[in-house]
Amino acid sequence: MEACQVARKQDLPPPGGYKPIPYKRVPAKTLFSGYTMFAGYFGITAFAMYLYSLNYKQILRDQIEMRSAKMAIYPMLLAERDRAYLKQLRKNRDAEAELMKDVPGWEVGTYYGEKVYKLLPPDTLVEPIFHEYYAHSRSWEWFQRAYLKLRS
Amino acid sequence: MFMNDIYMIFLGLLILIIGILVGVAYLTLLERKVLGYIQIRKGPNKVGFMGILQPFSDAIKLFTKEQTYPNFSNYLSYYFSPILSFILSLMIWLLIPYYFNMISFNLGILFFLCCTSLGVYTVMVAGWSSNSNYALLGGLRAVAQTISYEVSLALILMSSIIMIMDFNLMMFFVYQNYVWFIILMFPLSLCWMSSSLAETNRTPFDFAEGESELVSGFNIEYSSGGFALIFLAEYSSILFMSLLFILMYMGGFSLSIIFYLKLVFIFFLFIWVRGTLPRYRYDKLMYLAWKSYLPISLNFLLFFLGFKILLL
Amino acid sequence: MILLTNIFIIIMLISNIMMFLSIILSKKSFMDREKCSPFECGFDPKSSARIPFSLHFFLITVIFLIFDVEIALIFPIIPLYKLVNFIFWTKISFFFILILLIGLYHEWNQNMLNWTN
Repeated sequence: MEACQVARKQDLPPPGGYKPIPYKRVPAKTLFSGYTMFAGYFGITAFAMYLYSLNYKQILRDQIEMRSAKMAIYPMLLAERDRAYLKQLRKNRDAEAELMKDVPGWEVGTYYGEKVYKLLPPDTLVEPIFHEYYAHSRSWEWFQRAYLKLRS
Repeated sequence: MFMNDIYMIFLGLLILIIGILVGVAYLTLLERKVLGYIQIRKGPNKVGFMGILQPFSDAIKLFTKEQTYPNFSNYLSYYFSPILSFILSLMIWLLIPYYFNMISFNLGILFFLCCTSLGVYTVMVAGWSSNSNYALLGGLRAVAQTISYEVSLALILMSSIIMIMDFNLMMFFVYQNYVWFIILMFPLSLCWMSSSLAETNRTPFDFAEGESELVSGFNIEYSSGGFALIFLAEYSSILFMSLLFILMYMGGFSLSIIFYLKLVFIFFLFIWVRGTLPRYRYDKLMYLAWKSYLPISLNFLLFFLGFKILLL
Repeated sequence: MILLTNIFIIIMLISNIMMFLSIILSKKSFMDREKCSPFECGFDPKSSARIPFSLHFFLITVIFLIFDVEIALIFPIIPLYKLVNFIFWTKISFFFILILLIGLYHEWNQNMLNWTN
């Protein structure tokens, strides 16, 4: 019974009642009218197109420059490639001479003095086949070329 | 040497995958925080220091929960479709334009389209094979929705490809030196944004997992690892969509830190939309895809083709 | 291509391992009849889940098929502009997109795109 004697404050509305509920719709502010937005859109797009065309001309110039640089450097790249190729051929020939020096009557590039290609003139460059090219190099180089470079 | 390049590519791949997984984990944390503040409450703020370790605890919890084995389900396809969707979303991420130590796709956009269209199958198979009415309905809705938005997505993509005349994603940076494409094609970028919302089944268009109608949609029967994989796949594809938005419309040079800040901003837009907009209606969604986005993107395609022809 | 295949294999291994790990690590309980039945808000499932579905989904898929083929035909105009005569390229791409557009409007006119009849 004593618990009921404690003064309690009942939950009542504040004096004067609650405030009215603001249920009225608040439309968003219209900063631009439709015509202005259309005009702005067209203007911005036209300006962006102008900038894009400038950029595109720049890209065309860059592409032409890159292409002419490639054409300028191409002979040197070809020469380097041929030089590396011939180097490898010489390495093969030297390795063969080193390998077969104890065999009597063996001439490098021939089979006991017998030419491999009989009808070709003597100065012709006969390109070796793939495995012959890598015959005297380490197997790793052949593997790298055959399985990593050519098949990737 | 050549072999070293290959080692470096695999190292880069590993770093990329770890980065995606950790990034997705923290994006879920970001999403929960942002949604919390949108709904005037705090998000997770207890685990670790101010909730920083929350995603890891979630992951541990997910992976130690029990995996269900639904009766009458087609168990093999039920088991493998989350794995397939995760694989696909990781394969899409190979397209990120690293300038070194990663594959550079000459036809990257075709690769992207292939992977996103394959993503439909996983949702469909996941919905069908778990043998639940909700899952079947969710899968059906997801298939129709993703398919319809894929057409408009490809056509919107087409008009910005026409501006760069290449399928390589790195060319977008070269062509946006002077002006971002978002200024050049603003309406199309908005279309792309909402199409990617629909393509990744995000909230205003989340009919595949409509919370109040189908309890969880196509992934209702998935519990621990499968659900985690589906979740990771969805979020990483969302992240990739925002990356593509940045690349295509906001001048993507992917080696700068600003790029990633912009990416997080676009992901924040995704979360913002989720916190703000209610769900759409399904027939209106279809009308939006077929009757507004498709004609708009085709007309803009014609327009930009003419512009490009004038320039060429 | 071999590199891409290897990367695909690695990614496949990673995701399979994640799924397998969750199966190993996860909590196991006895096979519960309620747990293994399809979720249906606490009831036993009433109908089979392999039900026929609405025809609209099928029709949408057919329209998608048409448009996807057309998109697949559009994409080659990008690399083609370096290879073919420019006038022909212009005409072809313009007319192709126009045909696509008119086809879309025709489908709209024939009420193919309506979700409800």
